[in-house]
Amino acid sequence: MLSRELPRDVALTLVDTGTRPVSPALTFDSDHHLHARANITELELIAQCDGNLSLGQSYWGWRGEGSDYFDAPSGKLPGINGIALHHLLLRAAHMRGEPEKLAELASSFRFPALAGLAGKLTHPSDDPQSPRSMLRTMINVDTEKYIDLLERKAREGRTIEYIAAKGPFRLERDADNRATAIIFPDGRKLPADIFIDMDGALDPRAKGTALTFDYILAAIDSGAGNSAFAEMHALDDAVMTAIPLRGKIARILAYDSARLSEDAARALLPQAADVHTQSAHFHSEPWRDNLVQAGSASGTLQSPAQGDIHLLHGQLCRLAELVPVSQDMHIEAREYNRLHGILYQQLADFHALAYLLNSREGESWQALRDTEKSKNLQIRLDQFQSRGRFVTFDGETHDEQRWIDMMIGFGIIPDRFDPMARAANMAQAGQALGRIVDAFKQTAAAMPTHAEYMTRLGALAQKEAPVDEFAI
Amino acid sequence: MAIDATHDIATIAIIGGGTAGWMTAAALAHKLSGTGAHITLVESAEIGTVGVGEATLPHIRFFNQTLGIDEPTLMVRTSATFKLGIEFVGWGKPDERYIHPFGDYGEAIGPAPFHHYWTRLRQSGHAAPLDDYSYPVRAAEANRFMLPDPDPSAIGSTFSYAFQFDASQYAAFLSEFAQSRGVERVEGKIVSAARDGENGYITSVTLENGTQITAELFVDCSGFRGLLIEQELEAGYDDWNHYLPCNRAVAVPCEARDPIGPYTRATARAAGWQWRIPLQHRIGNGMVYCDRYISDDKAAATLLDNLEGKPLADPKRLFFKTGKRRKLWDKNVVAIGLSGGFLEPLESTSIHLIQSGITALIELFPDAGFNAADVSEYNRVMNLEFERIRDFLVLHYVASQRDEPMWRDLRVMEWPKSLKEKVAAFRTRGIIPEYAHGLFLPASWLAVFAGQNILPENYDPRAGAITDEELVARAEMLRSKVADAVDRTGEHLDFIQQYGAAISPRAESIIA
Repeated sequence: MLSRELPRDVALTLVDTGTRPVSPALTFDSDHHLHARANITELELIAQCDGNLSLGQSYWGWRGEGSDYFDAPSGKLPGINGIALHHLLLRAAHMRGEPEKLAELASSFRFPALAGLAGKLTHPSDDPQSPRSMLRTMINVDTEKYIDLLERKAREGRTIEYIAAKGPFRLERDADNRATAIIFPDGRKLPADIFIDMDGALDPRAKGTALTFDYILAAIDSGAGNSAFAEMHALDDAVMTAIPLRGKIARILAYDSARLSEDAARALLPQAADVHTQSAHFHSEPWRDNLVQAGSASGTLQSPAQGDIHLLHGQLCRLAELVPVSQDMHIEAREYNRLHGILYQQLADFHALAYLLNSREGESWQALRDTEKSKNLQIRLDQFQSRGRFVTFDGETHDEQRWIDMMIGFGIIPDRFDPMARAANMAQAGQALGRIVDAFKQTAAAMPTHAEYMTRLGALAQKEAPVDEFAI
Repeated sequence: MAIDATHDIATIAIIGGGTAGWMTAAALAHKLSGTGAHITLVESAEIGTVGVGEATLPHIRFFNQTLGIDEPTLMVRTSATFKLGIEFVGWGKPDERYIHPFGDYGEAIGPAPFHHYWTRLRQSGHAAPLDDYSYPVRAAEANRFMLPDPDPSAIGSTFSYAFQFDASQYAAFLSEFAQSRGVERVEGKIVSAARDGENGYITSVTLENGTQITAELFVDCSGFRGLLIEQELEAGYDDWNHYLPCNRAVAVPCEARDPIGPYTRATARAAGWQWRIPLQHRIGNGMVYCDRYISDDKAAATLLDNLEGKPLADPKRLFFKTGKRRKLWDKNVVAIGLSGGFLEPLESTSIHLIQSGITALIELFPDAGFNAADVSEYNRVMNLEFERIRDFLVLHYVASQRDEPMWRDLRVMEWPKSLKEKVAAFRTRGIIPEYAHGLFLPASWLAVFAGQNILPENYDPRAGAITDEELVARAEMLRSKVADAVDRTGEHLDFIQQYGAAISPRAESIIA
């Protein structure tokens, strides 16, 4: 980001401490604007990072053994005559005397989830009338290869001094406590005007909050499995996430070390090497004086493959927008810290949702249900439970429908529906809804399979052709 | 089953007509159509309505669209003109003016927002006035108007619009709309209210003639008095007089002499400010002032001395206390309009605050159980709305360079911390924080900052990534695009005529 957007007279030095994310694969929106700004195309992510597109991800067993919920971003869905779809569906469920079947009823209207679960894939359509306009693609990438791609891109058209060094590092500070240089273990000094700490090497991290699933095992294998989307399998005292890349699968086992031994965990993922601990932490003031913390130095979330990378992407965009203009950078710091707080809160709330709303048996899962909620999340849940209303806050990171689908899919049945739904002509609405379901089925049936689409994208990626040349 | 735990609200009483009362009645009648809910509106011809808030914000269009109201018809019925923004005269230095447009400045040149490139141009002496890069500003100044271009790449798509209308006529129009959809209008003066002995909820109000009106939900649109929300429930009031000390207004309509431009004007005066709102058939005028700095008579004289045409009525005085109810929704009473709070109409927010209150009430429409979470959520949302508007209004005062005692005092008062931080962020680095729930978007803040001489000392370093020549060329191209688009835009009053929105016969003669 900085390499591409900063004026050429700004010198960049990268000190590689060797720290790498625990997760061997990362998942993020395939059209994240960070990549456009860093001149990285989706085809490059596919070709150079073993990138694999998907329409969402599956939560298997979170609502009890055998349950499955497909989480898919879908934008904000239009209502019918101004009434949100889920209110009409809730009324329909009540008319049938089966409000508990709301989630089942709603599932027919979740086009991205239907297409994703059917193993289909395509890019969103620009035509707002097409169901395909509801699709949002996510991409899974190999972490190591993603880092390599970022490094190559950073060096395009700019000389970046690269120093590989292990800590511990110290910071030299002036009389005003501003950092003036990094002091390496061998005594070398690296002076700079501003320091960006990505892994906490320059400033110790705050103590993390213990997570129920506090240990992680991770590995990549070439084994068989679903290649169309990531799956998060809820197990007793653990979650196994399988992230399909092109030609391989990354597996991450997060487990409750108080209830599952390392040996038992390793039996679930024998190919894993090191065991890592995980905790959630949040710095409320990651930018102080001329030291900026981002990534894991500023906060971590419960979901290492998705939450942390989302946090990092968001922070880097903000940091690029707030590169200071003078030695006095308290204004930029205050704004960065404010935005960081909003971003972290949004991500933490979304990623907490499935854990809080799980209905599995077992002490680990009960502990997750009992986790304290943030004030904002409590308001969202209360309002949705009370009346099916979705509350928005500053800096939303996930689309409204995704939240609504997730709350319904994880078992929240609003106590009431919109009074307008009561007045709606349900016979007419039923016909309109039936036509929507038919259109969804037909569109999904006409979509290419995940394998077909990725094969064609892979071929395009080899030619480095722009993705919009590819048409279905 | 939770849904059966309580029942839907079947009876609603709206206390007070006027703009707030009838907007609420129309919206609820539309929203609750077919549910069987009965809506009664009580108003008294003896109690006048305040009738301020003739200038609106673009959001009003969405309110009207939701009700299915035809725009030209509404304009004819309310003598409305179009509005592209607000002109502020004498708010920076006494001889300066600027327009706060309902639209953007510039367009994307690179990764940084446009105003950073403009700052760079300004610092190198190559910048045209910021207004040259805004279509709505230049169109408003030229008294021209067209609807926004549906092509998002066109410079003519970079704005929105609102109306300047006769608020009393708007209320009358909505009164017809609401009554045609089943709202029962009851004429009478309320003399007492009865409350439930157990939970303190209002159960009924009694009129002077003895008629009793019972309801489950009461919407208090009784104006400053707050007949139910304050006189009965004592919800309390957050007084913001220390931030916005103006506490009185005097209003008078006059004949139109100057051009009927598509913008409202707010002219700073020694101890307050004067509004000018051009309608098709007259000009709405008023002066907002602080009685610590000017007497009522002198304020009225200042207003009358500065009218462009003959007064059409006697001046009408208003007394107010800036602030808001501590609880805009308390028990089974929701306060909408002046009963909920008052912020001076400097940025045309009076009707918008009514609209916000209605929107939030509809979103959180209760059942007879009155869920505490819904009430608390309504108050949270509305508090945020009031506070963020308050900060924006205060900015106009504290950023002034005028030298009269009121203006000097306002500059040295304690600002809201949130505003202090916004000003510092812009001045130092051109940062304009964006909020999902802020009424005023970054372009609005930029208009007032730049218009009142708060200019960034530095620009985003990313704006330095293109060459001087390229930047100058891109900016010049943009300026030409704006100028060309304005040249192609027709006269405001001609457009009203073409749109089928001209009143007759009088307005036609004015237009002619």
